[in-house]
Amino acid sequence: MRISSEQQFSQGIDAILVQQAKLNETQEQLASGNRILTPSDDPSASTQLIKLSALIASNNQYDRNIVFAQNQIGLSESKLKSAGDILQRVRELVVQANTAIHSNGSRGAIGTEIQNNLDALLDIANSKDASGEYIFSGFNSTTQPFVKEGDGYAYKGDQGERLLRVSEDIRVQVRDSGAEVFQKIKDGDGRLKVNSPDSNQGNSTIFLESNVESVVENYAIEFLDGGGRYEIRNAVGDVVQTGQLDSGVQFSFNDINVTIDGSPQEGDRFEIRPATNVDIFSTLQALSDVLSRPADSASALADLTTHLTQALNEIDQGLAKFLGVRSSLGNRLQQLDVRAAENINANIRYERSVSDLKDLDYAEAVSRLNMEKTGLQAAQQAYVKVQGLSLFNYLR
Amino acid sequence: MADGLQIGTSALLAFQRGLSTTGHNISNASTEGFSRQSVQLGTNQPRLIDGAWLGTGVSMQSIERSYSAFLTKDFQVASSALGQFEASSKMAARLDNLMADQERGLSAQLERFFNAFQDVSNNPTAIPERQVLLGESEALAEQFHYLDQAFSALNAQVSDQLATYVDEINQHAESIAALNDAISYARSISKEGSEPNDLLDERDRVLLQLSKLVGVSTIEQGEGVVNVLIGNGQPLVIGGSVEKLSLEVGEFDPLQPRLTYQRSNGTSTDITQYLTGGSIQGLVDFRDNMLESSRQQLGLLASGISAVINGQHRLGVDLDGELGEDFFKPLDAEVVKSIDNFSAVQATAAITDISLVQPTNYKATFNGSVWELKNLKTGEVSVGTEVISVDGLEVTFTEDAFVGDSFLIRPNFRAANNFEVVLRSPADIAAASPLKFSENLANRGTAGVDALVVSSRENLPLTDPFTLTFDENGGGAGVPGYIVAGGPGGFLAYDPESDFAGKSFELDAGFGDASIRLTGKPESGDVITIERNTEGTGDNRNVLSMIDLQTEDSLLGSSISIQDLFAISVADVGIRTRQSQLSLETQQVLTRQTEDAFKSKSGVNLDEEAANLMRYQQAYAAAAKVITVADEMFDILLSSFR
Repeated sequence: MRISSEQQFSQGIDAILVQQAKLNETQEQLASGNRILTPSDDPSASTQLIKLSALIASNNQYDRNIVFAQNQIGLSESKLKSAGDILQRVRELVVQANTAIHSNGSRGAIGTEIQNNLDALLDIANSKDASGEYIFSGFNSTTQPFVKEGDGYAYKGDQGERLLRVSEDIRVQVRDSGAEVFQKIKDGDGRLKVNSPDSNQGNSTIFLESNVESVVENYAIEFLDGGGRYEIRNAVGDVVQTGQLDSGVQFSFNDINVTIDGSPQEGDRFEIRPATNVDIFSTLQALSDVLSRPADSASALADLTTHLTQALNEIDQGLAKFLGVRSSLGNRLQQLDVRAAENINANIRYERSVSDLKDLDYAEAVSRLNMEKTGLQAAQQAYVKVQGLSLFNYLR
Repeated sequence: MADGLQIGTSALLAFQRGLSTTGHNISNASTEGFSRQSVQLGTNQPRLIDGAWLGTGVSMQSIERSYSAFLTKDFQVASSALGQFEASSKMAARLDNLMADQERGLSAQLERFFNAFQDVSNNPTAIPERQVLLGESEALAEQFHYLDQAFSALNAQVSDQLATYVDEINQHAESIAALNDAISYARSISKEGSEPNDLLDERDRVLLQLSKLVGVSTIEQGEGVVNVLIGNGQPLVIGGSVEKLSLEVGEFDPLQPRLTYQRSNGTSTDITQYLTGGSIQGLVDFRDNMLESSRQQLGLLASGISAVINGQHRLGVDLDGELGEDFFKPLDAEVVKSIDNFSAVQATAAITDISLVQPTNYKATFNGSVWELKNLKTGEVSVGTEVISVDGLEVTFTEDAFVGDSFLIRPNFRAANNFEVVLRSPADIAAASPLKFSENLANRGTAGVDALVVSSRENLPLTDPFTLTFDENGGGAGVPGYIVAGGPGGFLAYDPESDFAGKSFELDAGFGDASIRLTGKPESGDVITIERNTEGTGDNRNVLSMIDLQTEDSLLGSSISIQDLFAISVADVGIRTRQSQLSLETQQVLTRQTEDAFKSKSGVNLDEEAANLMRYQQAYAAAAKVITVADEMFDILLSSFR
């Protein structure tokens, strides 16, 4: 084909320009270390990169959330551990008080010590976290949860439980409400609560256990004479059972086993009701109050024994509650550890994918650069050589 | 002997012309559009001498250019296509570059925005975290504005270039008309068959330039005159007269100008959609397809975020226990009236369901009896008289429209620009949920609530608490469940024996349209109370729900999340840019081929000219020798008489 001189020139120049553009692109890749400079270089990889960097950012946030959750749960855990220690100490005091050797004074001293422990426990229930939130107040986290009201304690928080998001689909509870931890503790032995009224004259003490988990009705055991004849009535006054007491020997009615020691007087009674939730503070307050009152008569001492026996049960319920919450906290901490490890693994995976998608293969790029350099040199040399060829060189 | 002199002289003259033409070729070797010329020589009329025809030398017949009408036209058409792809891919590359940074730009800001929600969920009472959230929201708005402005700037560049190109097209048209006149005059004064080669070259050159800007078709009219048509047959140049192209404000958007054809009688026609090929077409393509699509997708993202975040935020309560208000300014569809409308008809459009909104525009046209609403991306047409509902939009028209009246409905176009944070105070961030529940302490069973979710603001905030009381015969003998007292009322069948792991209920409508999940084994008489969440400053339930919105498939028919929508639009730009680059590369090869064919025919080869130079030089020397010989013969004859 016929070639015009202009064509020869422009083709030579074009070849050089094309080589230069390629070289420039490779140079930019090498300088940035990125294979993809604009989305059009690899549209699908660009999309994936955006998604991956979103995932990585989310994961970093989840890492933060996990640390935050660990701190929160850790704080609750340590508070509940202290609470458990205090309750344990109270339990020892109750055991100590429940021996016969005490005078009113020494019992009173134990009552005072229990009062002190109660205050310490209250402090724990009202503790705040680093940002000033009450940790056992539910959603009402700026309201002090437990305050003394009358003889008992009132809970001012609510039953809200705060969750934190620690991964795409897992939320972990970081706050337990004061209601759950300190209030939902069944009194009595957890099934039954018995009350021996102050009016009792005899020295009898009572021990009860229920064969069924849930007792529905209230009962009263009333002694009809000093000889131990009793009748058991339900809440509406119907007689459920009558019998003759044999001190220290267990008898049963409606799935409730009863053991009564001592000799009741006519008109003495025991009131039995299903256990109900009572906050631990009110329980300890009642305990402290009972111990601080002088108990001189045999019947008062018997009442005291009944009360202390139940108080031990109630404290055990409290300890079990604390332990239960703590083990739940422990589980959550463990879950967080697992999540944290998984997050790290996921991020490593994501980073690797990012690197696979985005990072330049330097060896390949450098050899490409060399090839393109050679190409450019060749184009330049070819141009000079071809342009040098002219018939005019031979005209003189 | 006189013959010899005459013949020699004719040859001298002829070869002189040859040398001149070669010189002309050499000197124009680099002149754009120049076609090499060659001298056509012919023998002179012979004379009858002694009954024989004696040659009388040579003379120049004509000077012709190497030219092929077919190759020239081919090159023009290819240049049009090249001009189109060059213009569109150059603009596409700018958009591509803009998006290249967005992995760190909008996408990263979206992450920071949602992470700020996470920090609020970690510490809902704390003001600093809430302040940070507001700050990140503002930054998100700025990112939207930045991108929107960058898109507007690209649009402005297109308009500026279009204006320049229209000027150039008009100038080229003037030049062609002037050249038509000059060519026809030159032909009239030259001898038959002799063409004004350089003028023809110049006109072809201008036609080529014009073709690069806009696709044209040419018609030879005779007398060497060429008529130029553009669009769907509008004459731009007829002989020596010219009609003008101009750029006028767009029918719907003054910032998207349209190209109009100005008739000499003063009327003008919109020919934007009829133009084919050339840089103009490339620019319009870029503006109306690629840029428009990116703006719509960005807008959809903006109005999507605004709508879903607002929707959830309004279901929460703030630090003061008040129901949440709008977080972002609510964004609605834009309706633009055609400047060509005759009647005073009005239209409004509202987004009724953001999850169905598509990244497209709609054109509504009144056909005399009904309105036709056309989806400008898919071409689907919906018909209605007063109200047309389509793709989560509701378009309403007033009465008394004229045939041909039209509106452009842009659901997303301005959303990124209008994206704005309206929540001002950190305390107004509605992190908490409006309802809370509690299990009565006296409950004997283990009745519990797992989740309580509101889905409307109806009857909120709750004035009076309502209770769920378990009764093992609540739904009739042997049908256990909760009796709802107060609030929505109703009965929730719940069997502790089989449902203890959890059972979800939708409470009857009203009172937040709440759904509740109950767990545990309640005993008869156990009560769960649901009440207004007051002082729930430590409640983060609503923020947790808002965080879910990041990855929830809430847009485009619940098929894609906020997070992914942007990634898709980046990919979209990448793919379109790549396509336009590929088209450009293909067209470059095609154009190069036609250019080669054209230049191979018409271009000057200097070696060839050097050879011609030698040829004519030698012939000239030989002709001179003929004269010398004739002269010497004359001398010999004269000396013989001495």
